[in-house]
Amino acid sequence: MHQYIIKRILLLIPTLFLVTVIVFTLIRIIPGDPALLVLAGPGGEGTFTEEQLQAMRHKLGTDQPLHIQYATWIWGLLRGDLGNSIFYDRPVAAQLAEALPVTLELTIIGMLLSFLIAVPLGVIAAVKRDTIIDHLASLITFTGIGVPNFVVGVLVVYLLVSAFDWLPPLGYADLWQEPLKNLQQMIFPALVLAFYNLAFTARVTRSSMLEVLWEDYVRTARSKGLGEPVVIFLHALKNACLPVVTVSGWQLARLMGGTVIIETIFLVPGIGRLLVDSIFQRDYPLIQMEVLVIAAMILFVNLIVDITYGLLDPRIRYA
Amino acid sequence: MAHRWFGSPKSIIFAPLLLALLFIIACGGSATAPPPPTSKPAAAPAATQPSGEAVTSAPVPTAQPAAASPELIGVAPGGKYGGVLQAYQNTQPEDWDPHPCGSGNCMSAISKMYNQLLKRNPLKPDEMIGDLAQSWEATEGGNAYIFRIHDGIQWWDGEPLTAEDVAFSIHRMIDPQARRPRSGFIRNYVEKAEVLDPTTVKVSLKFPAAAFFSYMGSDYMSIVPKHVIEAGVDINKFDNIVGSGPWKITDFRQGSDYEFVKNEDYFKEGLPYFDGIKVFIIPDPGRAIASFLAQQVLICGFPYCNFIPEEFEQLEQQGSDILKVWWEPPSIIGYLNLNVNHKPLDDPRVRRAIHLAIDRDELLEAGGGGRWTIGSVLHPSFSIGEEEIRQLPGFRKPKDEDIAEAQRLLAEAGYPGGQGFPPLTAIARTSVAFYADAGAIIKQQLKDALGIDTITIQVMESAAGMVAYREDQWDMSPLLNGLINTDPEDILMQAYTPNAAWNFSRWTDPKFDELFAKQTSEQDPAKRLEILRELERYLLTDANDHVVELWWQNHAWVVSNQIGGMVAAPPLTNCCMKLEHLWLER
Repeated sequence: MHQYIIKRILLLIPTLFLVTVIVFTLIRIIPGDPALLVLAGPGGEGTFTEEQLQAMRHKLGTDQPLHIQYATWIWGLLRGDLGNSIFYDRPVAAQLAEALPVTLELTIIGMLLSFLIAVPLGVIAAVKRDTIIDHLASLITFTGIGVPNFVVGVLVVYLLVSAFDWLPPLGYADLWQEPLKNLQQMIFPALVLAFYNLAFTARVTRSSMLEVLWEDYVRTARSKGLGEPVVIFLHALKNACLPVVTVSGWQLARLMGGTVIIETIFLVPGIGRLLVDSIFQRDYPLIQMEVLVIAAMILFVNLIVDITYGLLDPRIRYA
Repeated sequence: MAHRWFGSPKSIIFAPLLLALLFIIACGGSATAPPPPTSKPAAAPAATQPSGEAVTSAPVPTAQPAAASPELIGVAPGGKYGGVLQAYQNTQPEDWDPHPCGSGNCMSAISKMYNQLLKRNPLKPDEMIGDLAQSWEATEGGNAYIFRIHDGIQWWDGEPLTAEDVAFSIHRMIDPQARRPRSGFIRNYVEKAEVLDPTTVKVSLKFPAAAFFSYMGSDYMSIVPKHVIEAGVDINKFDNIVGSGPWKITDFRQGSDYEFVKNEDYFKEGLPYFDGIKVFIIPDPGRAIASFLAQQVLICGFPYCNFIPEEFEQLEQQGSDILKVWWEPPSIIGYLNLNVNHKPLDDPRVRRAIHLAIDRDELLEAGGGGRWTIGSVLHPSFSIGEEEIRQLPGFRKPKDEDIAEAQRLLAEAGYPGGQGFPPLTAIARTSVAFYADAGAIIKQQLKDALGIDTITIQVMESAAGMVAYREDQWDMSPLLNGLINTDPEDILMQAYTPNAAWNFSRWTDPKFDELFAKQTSEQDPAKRLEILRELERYLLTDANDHVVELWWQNHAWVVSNQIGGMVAAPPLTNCCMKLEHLWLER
């Protein structure tokens, strides 16, 4: 097991290296010149001379050949220098330090909500198979899977303002300083973000439960006179949750992707919103680091999932 | 037993109850209302407040400062102190230094922290009044201006604001090597600025420039602290700012909001009214509208009330009891920019044919729903006027005669019925939603009228579109241009002069140059207007330039009924951003 974990950690290095190459290349394939954007402004009204444009490119380092730019970036990374945002002239590290905890909080709440709601929903649907409860659960889950989360997000905003004349407070409140306000701001985007995952996890839970509910060991547990909650939660669900754990890594990636839209709709100043802004502004250093950080997080969670998988199922040992 | 539990009503309502609980937690407190004002000011008679919202611009361009008033806006009767104004802005400032700032987006934040020599009177938007300047005069036949600033003005750090700062700032604005997208407009006029005494500065011009005076009232011409900049401090970082203006910035959270508190030592006694301003960055218009309706925000962080006419109207209807939409006079022109270096648009006959064939009214209806007016070279208040314009070929109705002439010109250029017309790329940037619609309408009109079926519309996000302009990978493009000055020269310098920002293909014309030079130094406003109108007629009829004028559109302020002191919308999209004259009623 230890060897497996070490191998997986070592494997992260070439994977992250590949991510750096891909993100560095992709962002430069899209048309756009950061120097031009800095000089002309977001609306493009600014006037400037060719000399000023060249000087700005030189200042930003975008006049260098691509391999030099890449090497400069990687060398900076290895030294702990993440560079400066082109557009805001602020250290990338400082911007990530502000945005990352916000997105992490949103993602964690989203994950928790999705599991807290999805697992009981899936279990109930399986236990009450082909009843009205099961059909209702199916309706919820198919809606969650079928409706894009940005549509749900916009609908939630309009529902809140039209039905309750209320919206989550504007301006980000820190979790530790203003926990109640923070919860008001985070709960709805987290719910919207969790909706798809909730639906998907509930479907997976239901299917797994249906498989294990008719297994011999479940029948044996019942015949031993164990209470139904004990049978379902301790015997059936424990084995049924393996596929749920498997998809959780993939779900985190989806949640991180969802934050790009949801953070914009709900005005959450996290890494998703920062990523959107930085792409429009062709803020290369910022985009590169944001993508790299997101990729690293997803890789890390997948590693955790794999390890957990082994711990949950004694039959699976990686050594 | 457990089967019964799962089927019981308790378990069925468990999940909704959990959600309801979460909702109750979330809705536990309200953040909609800003803190209320706490006290009333001592009564101080000052500015009168004209009623009504209509704004009319001056009938002639102001060449001399005679029309300006040196009066400060004082404390208004009924003005209330206190409270924090919550405002909406669609994007965060990209600059914090007023001189490199090139958009209303950054200037609406920056303007609150600095002052100019002059400003527009927010109570009478046609009028120029002193900001830092107490008095002024034109001398040497209009070749120089002398400005005297108020005594005792201080920077936030306690240093006095003197004529040294004014002269330094003007030289900084005209620095040829520096990025000066808008403050650099006065480069064309200003020779130098000299300090005559600690409160007096003389600005010498290259010629008696008619537009110089009104440019000095623009927020972009802010006076910055010489001692701070000379000490090597980068004032393009928000936490380094040392201003003189009514609001001091206290925080900027990227992607979220920025905050100001009142400058208690502001040199305009009794101003400003709010204790502070908190600006929330809301990129999604739908969410911004919802925030207005929930009264989370009370005003646009002017000028970026980033709504299309339908959205303004939606707010007017749904929020009629809580807010008011203040429509500005037209201050944004929409036109089709043509690349005069590319075939076949390098042929004046083809450009003329396009000009004649386009039906502006269809665009006016599609984009403005009847609120926009017909395009002209000059701002409608200086233009030859809609009545005359609608008699001109290309603008008149019915269009039969113009389309016949356009077809003839196209055939003469070698493309009868549009046959053999080379492929054209029309760039429509996503920064304005209507660009793509306008492009599609024009494409269809040119196909119907002239048989041109080779136009490809490329919808591009702003960054990619700007590269296409810069690298000459475009043939035509719908564009908007917001004015920063009501002087007619502003639009000419932004779109028509050889180095204008929106003259991408560098169209030039000797007669245009001659008339432009003639009007810019004409000191008699009436004579200048005559020359300007001659120039306009030339551009609309014979010049066959790179611009097809389409429409003028008006922008609007959305202002909550909780805000007092709002008496008129400004005449420009890019002005009047300090908000020092407004207060919270409750």
